[in-house]
Amino acid sequence: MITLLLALTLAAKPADISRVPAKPAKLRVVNIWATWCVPCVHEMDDLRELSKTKDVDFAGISMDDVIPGDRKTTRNKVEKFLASKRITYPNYYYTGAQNALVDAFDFSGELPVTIVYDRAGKELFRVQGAIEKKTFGEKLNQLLKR
Amino acid sequence: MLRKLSLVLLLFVAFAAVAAELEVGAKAPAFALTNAVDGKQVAFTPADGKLKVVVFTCNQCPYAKAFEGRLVSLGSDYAKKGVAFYAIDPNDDNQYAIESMDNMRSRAKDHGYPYPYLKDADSKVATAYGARVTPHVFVVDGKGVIRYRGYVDDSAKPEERTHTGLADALDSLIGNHDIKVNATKAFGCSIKWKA
Repeated sequence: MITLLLALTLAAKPADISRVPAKPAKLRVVNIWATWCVPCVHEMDDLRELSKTKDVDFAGISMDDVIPGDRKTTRNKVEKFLASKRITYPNYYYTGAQNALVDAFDFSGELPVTIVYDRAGKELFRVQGAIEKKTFGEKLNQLLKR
Repeated sequence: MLRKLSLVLLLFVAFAAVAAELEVGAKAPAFALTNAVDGKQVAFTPADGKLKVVVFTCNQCPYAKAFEGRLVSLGSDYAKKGVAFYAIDPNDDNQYAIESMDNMRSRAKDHGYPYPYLKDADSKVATAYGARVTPHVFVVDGKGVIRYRGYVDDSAKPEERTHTGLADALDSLIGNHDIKVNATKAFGCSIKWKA
């Protein structure tokens, strides 16, 4: 799945590929979101705090581009939003086919979805809908102690 | 122990609130809802001998709004072929004033909805269908059976469209052919369930 993620995001012209770590951490969290998705916006502060967890890499994929409009304007909006939320982990602006991403991550099509992988890229768990900070943090810590 | 039990109960309630999406082949639930456009009650009778489209949509979701023109056009075109569309707003208007009946009426009038725009005030119809997002469509045949469910099209951008799920399903049913893809993944904003 990690390979697939990278393939997809590379194809999607990531904002800053140089920030993808060469050696994956013990866990990788992928959050698929959009600025127009209310629960996605609400959980962003919690994700920022959780992204400070040691040995866990976070990555975001914005699906803002699925809505018709000027790509440059939309992308700027995403970048501004991330800056306003002080998100420092890599975020990718997805410009591929909507369903390719939905199918690749095998989610229902409802945003947000947050998926946790181990170092080998095996999915460990996912949250469909907004995460609950305390529960999600406890689950990450549990998995880190395995 | 009590805390654990409360958590389990809470999880159960959370899962119970989001019902599974009805499968193709399932019987479509009947409903009666108020049309925001004229305040009249509209009854949906699944086995009425007609082809019908039930679409869950709303006022606030940019993705649903991106499909609005497309749905108006499909609703108008297929009405001529005897297909009735029912647009339903399942979002909680207590939490989101934009989903009020007044705002629904304005939206339907401004955009020339050729179909009723119904308020599912307690999200019960959305729950019965297992709708998750807006827009989310279900095609119901004359016998009251769900024949297609999922997205309208696979992209909101006409130039990137590769599968027109809803139109293909309707054309197949009207032409008495098998539907090639009868279930797709509806994509959009999560339904804002009644708190």
